[in-house]
Amino acid sequence: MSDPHDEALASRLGMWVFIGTELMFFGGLLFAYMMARLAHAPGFAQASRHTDIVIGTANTVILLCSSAAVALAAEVAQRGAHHLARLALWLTLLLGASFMALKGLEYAHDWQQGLFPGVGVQLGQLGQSGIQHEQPLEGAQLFFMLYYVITALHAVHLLIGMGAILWLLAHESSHSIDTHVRRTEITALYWHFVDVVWILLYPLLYLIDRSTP
Amino acid sequence: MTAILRALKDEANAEVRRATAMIGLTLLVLLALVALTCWASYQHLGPARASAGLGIAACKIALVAWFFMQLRHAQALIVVALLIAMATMSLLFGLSATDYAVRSPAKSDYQTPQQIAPFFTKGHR
Repeated sequence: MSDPHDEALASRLGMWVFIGTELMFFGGLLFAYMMARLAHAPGFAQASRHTDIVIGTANTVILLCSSAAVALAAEVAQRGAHHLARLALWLTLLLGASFMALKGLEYAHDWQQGLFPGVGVQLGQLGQSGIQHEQPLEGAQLFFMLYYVITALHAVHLLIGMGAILWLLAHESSHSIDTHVRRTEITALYWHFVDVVWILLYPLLYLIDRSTP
Repeated sequence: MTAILRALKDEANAEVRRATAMIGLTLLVLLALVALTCWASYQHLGPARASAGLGIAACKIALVAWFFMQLRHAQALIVVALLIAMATMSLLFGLSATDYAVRSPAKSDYQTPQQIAPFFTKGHR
């Protein structure tokens, strides 16, 4: 019979090593963003001013709340409050679904305003008299290419996290309490990592060039 | 939310209450930092705007890692695994940045893609 402490450490370490590999994955994309932004600063500034700051901020708040909810689930499950832990996991799931719904809405708005890389594209912004277009500077389309790749990959990671939480809730009664508590903790770690990636993306995609003329 | 508060009332012992309060407090600080970074992005900070945005993001990440991801209770082995991952990433960033820094910039053609002439025209059909 293996020691439960060793098992807990092994699963925790396994998830941290996985998070390490994910750091390399998103790190490469963020490096590409950084280099492209240095090479095409005016185009990136112009393009990033067209992203939807209201939805971006709402999604940041939603993800931070979901991280708090899943952290609560992991903490209270360890202390025997299993009903509360289950409710916190459902809340996390609900917040994750809200994030995805808002992201979908944002993509739809972006598409309507022509914020998509392609031939002869013009950047649109919803004003008082409908959508006003402006000619993209060099690099603006590259910004949107990176924006879609990075945010879509982030959304895929979030979907995987939601799937893991659903699985956890569905199989709660088929495992021992110790196993369930450990799995809740590991799933929470993964969810926090997805949140950490968004925390970095939020200023890079929505904020940094907001005040530039 | 009401169900969570009711469950908290039913199941809470001192430890659960302490853990919940700590998570709630961390969340409040995180939300305050979101408000701060949002406000700062509309201020004319010049070249410091990138540092301000990324600096506040780094604070938020530290809070999430320390309090939510339990790094404050992490065993040495986990800290070592994380440090190795970060050191490897820094090395890759450093090598790639050095490559970009010493290479003369080549104009890429992805900004103005060439329109390919339609293959099927009336004459071909």
